[in-house]
Amino acid sequence: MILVLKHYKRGNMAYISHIDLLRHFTRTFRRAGFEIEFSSGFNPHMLVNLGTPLPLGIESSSEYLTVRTDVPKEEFLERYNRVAPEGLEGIRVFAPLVNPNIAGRTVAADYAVKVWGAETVRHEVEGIVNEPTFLMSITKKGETTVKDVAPMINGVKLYPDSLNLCLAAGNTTLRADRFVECLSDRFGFEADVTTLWKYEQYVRERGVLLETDRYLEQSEEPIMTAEKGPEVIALPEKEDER
Amino acid sequence: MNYKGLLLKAEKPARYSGGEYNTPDMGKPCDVRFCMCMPDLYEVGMSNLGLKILYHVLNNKEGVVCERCFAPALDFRQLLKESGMPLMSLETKTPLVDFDMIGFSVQYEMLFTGILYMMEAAGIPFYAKDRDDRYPIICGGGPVAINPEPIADFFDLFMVGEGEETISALADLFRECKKKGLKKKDFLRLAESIEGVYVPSLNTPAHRKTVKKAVVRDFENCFYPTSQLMPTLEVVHDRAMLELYRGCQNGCRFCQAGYYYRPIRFRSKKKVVELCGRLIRDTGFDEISLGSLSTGDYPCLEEALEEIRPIAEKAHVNLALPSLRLSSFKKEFAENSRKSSLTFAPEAGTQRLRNVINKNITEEDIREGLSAAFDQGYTSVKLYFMLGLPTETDEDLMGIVELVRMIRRLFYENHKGGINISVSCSVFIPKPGTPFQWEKQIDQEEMRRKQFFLKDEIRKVKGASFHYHDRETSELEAIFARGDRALAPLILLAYRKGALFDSWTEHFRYDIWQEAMEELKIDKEKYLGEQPLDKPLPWEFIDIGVSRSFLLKEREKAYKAACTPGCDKGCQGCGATKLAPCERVKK
Repeated sequence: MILVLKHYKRGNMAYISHIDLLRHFTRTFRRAGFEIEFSSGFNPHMLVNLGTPLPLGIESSSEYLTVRTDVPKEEFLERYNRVAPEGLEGIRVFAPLVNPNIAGRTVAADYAVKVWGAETVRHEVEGIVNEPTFLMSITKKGETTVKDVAPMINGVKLYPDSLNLCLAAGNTTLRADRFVECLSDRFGFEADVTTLWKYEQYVRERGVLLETDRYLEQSEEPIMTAEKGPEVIALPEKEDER
Repeated sequence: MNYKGLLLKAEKPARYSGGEYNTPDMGKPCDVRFCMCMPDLYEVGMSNLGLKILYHVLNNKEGVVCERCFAPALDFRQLLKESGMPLMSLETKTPLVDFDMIGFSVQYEMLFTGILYMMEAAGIPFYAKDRDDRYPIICGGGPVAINPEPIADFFDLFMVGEGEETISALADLFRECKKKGLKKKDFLRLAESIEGVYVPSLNTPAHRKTVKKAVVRDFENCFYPTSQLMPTLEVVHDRAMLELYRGCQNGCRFCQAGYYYRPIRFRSKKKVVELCGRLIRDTGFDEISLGSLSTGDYPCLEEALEEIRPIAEKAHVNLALPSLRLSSFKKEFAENSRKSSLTFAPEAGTQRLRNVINKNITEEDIREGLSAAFDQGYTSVKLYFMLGLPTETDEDLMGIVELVRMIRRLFYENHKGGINISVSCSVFIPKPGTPFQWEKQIDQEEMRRKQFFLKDEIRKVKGASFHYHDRETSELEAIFARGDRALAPLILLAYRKGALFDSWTEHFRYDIWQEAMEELKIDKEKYLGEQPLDKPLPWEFIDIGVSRSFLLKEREKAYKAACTPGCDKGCQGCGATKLAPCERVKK
């Protein structure tokens, strides 16, 4: 049986790298006494699929991992939470009928970050969604490149003390921390990237963004799975994302 | 910038975040706050069993909270400096200066500069004499406490020997002194009466008092943590560790641990099986290591494995048996382990030299053990040797080459395909507490000749490769291993000139050490040469249980290439039984 665990990655656990994260889960499952399927081969390992990697330091209440196990859905969450590290608590469990391939299907995520003094530039900041191009310089390992990230910006909304963003995440990702820093530089407001929080994650379904929770709820229903398959959807890219 | 902001900029922020699963309650009412430090990176420090034990011992005590701190990597040290923040504990981010006591666990000599690095980052003056009552009590411990003299002036006290009971008694004493409003110097005077405690300021080379090493008498029932801290990122030894027993019956004459951890004390099979089950349940590690100085010598290993194996298999936990002697490499031990590489340490190339060092392993043992291993499918062998051993000649070096050739032939007697033989040679370092503590270390020129001789010879054997240890690092290690108090200024000067993380090849700067020695007019030959028998050595005020006369007798036997049988063949009278009963004798 396939189970998907929706979990937090917050507090000290926000600093755990993607590869180390896997280790934390396999150890937690062992403490919980779960029978998780193992791979065969020279180095058998637990069959656990993590979702989209979250950049180090960003907290999240919307992470997903997939396992194959015989642990009943009703038991899973409670048994997991009893031995989970602080910061990786489980939120909800889904039992999709087929492998939901979350990592492969995720296209976008919502983030929020604390900001100050952005009220005066609200119009300009929110307006970038409609710009045909948005050039951003990205420094990786000491090398700086300039990239047009406009196709990766799905939404920008300013609230009195927070900036909310919907950005590409998945196969192509716009790093929220870098993007926030870029915006705060360009428009002259203050942002505290240490407060960055990811609160929603989306797949694309029939051309529109669908919350992962909704997507997983659908995939729990037998009637939906017949007409649905990961490869059914092939739709135009950019317009739909906006 | 706040601490979170610093973490975002760090190379590996999980090194400094804390928040490990199984972290004890840090908020409980307490009147003693202890910070356990290790002058090495998180990945190394978190692999250390001693640190795990002491950490949980303290946190299990009422009214005591113990936190941790490791050496920050250079990038994080720079970030701390730039933001004007001092070094802080992992658990509650408390500056080190605000603790009551700080304990440095020092695993070996090359970490000395790391201690100063951490002290400086924490804003703590280096020399004990420069620290008044505002500063925490700085304690030292770990294997280097067998000769703490080179760093003695930096510390308020050392815990010599096994720390479980000493550290607990120290915390109690501290609480008492705090209640009575006593000063640091009063505390230190009282601490001297605790077994295993050495206070350098009150016990000087001019006025020596004997310090007896602390040992745990009731090893079977002493506290062992099974809810061990789960590291946040991958560490060097990323597995659950279970200590089967302390001490070693073999008496290899170069081996400090073999003498320092005497007498031998076992955990019963029942206890081992119980602890194993709890470790698997409480940690969730996918591997559990049954450790000791020589795991194959654990008397009930087979019976214990029979009971542990089903538990481990059910939980998909791999069993690791490190430190198996080749003679104990039996079929059943290796059957379930992965067939990759087999590692063993003959240490010397000829039987004569193996007898000198009392490594009781014969060519026949090697043959038998390896035949069995090859039959099971092993195709890779790693061999460890030591160069520069007392009485060593070129014939002994050729012995290593012969051994490699023999192993190759042995493989092809019954097997096809390829075999990898990797030969690793370290440099002999005469260590305190061993029968070789008076021996000289061979000079670098001669060591270089030996290393290149072997390199050329082993290159001629197909499938064999040769690796050797750095001569300069080994020389420095030898200087500190047998050092005295005159070396503290050297460590400080070298640190000031930029020496740090000396155990990492990419950071080690021999030129700095050389320069510092010249400046301070320190003659390294005093430490590297043969030591006089008629004078007490700088560390001989520390009583490790094994008597001087026994060490001298072993030294004489070494020159005659005469073996001393293992303690399992009968008591050899080393003297350690005066500290606690030796359980090897009973069995």
